[in-house]
Amino acid sequence: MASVTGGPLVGHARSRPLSQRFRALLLRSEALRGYILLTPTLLVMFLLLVVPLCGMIAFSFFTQVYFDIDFTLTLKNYWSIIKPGAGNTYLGIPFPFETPVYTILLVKSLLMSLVATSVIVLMAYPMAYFIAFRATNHKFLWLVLITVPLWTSYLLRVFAWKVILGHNGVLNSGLISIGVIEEPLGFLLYNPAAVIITLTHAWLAFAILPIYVSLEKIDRSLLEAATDLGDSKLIRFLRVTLPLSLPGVISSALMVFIPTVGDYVTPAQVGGTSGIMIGTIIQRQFGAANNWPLGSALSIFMMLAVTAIVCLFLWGVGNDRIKARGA
Amino acid sequence: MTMSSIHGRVMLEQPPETATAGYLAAGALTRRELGKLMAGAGLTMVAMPLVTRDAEAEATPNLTILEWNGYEAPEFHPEYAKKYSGSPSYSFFSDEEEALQKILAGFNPDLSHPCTASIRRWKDAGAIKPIDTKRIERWGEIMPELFSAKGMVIDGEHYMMPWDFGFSQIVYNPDILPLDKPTYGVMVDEAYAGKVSMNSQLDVVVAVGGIIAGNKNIFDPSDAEIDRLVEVWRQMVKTSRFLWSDATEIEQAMASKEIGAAYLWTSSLAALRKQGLRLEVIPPLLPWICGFVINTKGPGDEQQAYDYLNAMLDPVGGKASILANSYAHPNPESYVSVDKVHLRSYGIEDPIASLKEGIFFDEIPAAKREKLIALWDKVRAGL
Repeated sequence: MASVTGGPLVGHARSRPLSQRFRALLLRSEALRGYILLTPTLLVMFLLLVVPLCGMIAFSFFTQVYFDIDFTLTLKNYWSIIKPGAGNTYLGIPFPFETPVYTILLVKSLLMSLVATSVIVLMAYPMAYFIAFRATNHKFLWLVLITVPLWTSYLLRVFAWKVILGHNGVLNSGLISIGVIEEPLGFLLYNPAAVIITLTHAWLAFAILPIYVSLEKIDRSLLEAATDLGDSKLIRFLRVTLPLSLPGVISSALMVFIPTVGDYVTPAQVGGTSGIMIGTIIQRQFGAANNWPLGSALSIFMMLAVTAIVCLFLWGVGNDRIKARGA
Repeated sequence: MTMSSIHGRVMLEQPPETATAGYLAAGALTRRELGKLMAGAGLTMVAMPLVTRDAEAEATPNLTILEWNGYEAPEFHPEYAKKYSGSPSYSFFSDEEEALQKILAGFNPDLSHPCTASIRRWKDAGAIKPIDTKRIERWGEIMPELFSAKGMVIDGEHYMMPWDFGFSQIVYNPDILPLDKPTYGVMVDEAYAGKVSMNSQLDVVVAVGGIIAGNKNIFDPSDAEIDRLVEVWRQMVKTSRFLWSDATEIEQAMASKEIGAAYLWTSSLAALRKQGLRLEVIPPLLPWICGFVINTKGPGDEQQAYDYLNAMLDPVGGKASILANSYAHPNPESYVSVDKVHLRSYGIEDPIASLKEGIFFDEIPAAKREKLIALWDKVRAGL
């Protein structure tokens, strides 16, 4: 464009109006174009994720004094979480802290989430496998069907489990009517198991889709090759399909594990007195306990723990692969 | 768009100048006249909302109330509903602390409905302001004894207009738990584990736990008393099937006979008895007084807030609330035509005397409250 005039390029560019210079820059720089396309998303992310997160980090260094906030920076909130003391034991593990409730609840939440995640992935895999390999005609329909539970709100699905597992619930009255039991079973609801069942149902659809995508991507000729080379169906699955679908499994596991650790609604509804999780106590800090700084510190403590576990998990997975490649 | 297309059509159909009069006579319009007409219509449409808004300002509700569930019925505030042809907008809570936190987090109602035990706390938090009693015509009709409750008047200023008062209590269903000598001990009795349900609010567990522990200063416990209280809480959390926070939750559990004994508000007790459930009350009763406070940052019309408060003292609405919730109403006139049997069965035949029975929900001093909250959280988590 500039060459048409024949003048020296640089000098000419300087004399051009701002809008043209910007246009030229835009055409030259791919990165800039990318950022401009991303701007709305980045803006939303910044305003709704980064800013609140920074606010929370800042808050975790303040102190609540009755109804006022003391803005002097302090590590007191974090210290109160891990301050050593007489402690307590949970599942036989000692927690030697002055207020062991936070660490114990964190470990309990991580364990409950881990169990839920394992169950979810184990249940999601066969379903994804079926859609990827067995469903031939109506694949799209199957995918839509999987999202059907997501059409109602999360809270309603939790309530639905209360109706199913409850004292006069579907399960109990069904079992009574066919004569299996005489009294309603009390152990169905209001315990960690009920929380895990509910979480499993609520998050299953989120796990199926990533696994499905990774299975779908597998080159079918690899499977044929494995069969031609004499692998049985099981060996073929273990040596070809499973390793190739691992990225999907990993992302499913993370997608379920990370949000469920801090879940608050599910334990509140179906957890009873024994099924409470760390989310419950964090919510209390922002509610009745009136201690936002401690609530923020607990949230960050939880996020750090989750991050550590995720990193450990990813490192373990990566390590395995490297070993496998070396062998 | 519409206007220009109409113009367009008129232009096309515009007759020669000479024929204008004839067209006008026939009811057709010239382009200029049509333009004027359209401009007039446009102006009217723009101006209409302004004019009507002014005219109707007096008659539309502009009031937000943070309420307990079940108090929003228009029958409770007939005067307001009539004057403003509608009810205020309501937002609901089931725990006073949650309500206060909601306000502190930026939700600004005009009025809210806490109980006397929380008023000082709400005032300290800067959430409420004094009531100008002169602006409430029926203020003088309120039973004067109600003002002696702690928290009602702080530094000579009225912060609450008492409105509903009555009881909460531990009740049991003799069909499920055939108790010989019913006491509050049922809530911590291992024999009934999984058959009882406690409420999760701090004030409630302090009261009920304190009674079971045999504490003398229930709402201001000494360190030794706190230790005993925590022991009771531990047992209570173990025996409770769940800690309820929402009235419908416990009502359903009692109606389905999942729960045989629970802490219950009288409104729930009345509702469950109406369904034909046999429920017995275990003494002592736990009386309380709740009422309306004016919030500091209410966005609505303050006059409407006062009109609402005045309407809530109306005996017509008072009677409706007594019948619906079985709680007492501050205006003595409200009781005149209410069936005495109904009043007796809910212990409010002599409402003022009833407040002196049992153990009144007093306020817990601020510092102790923080301590008890931390302890209760620990116990709730199963430790």
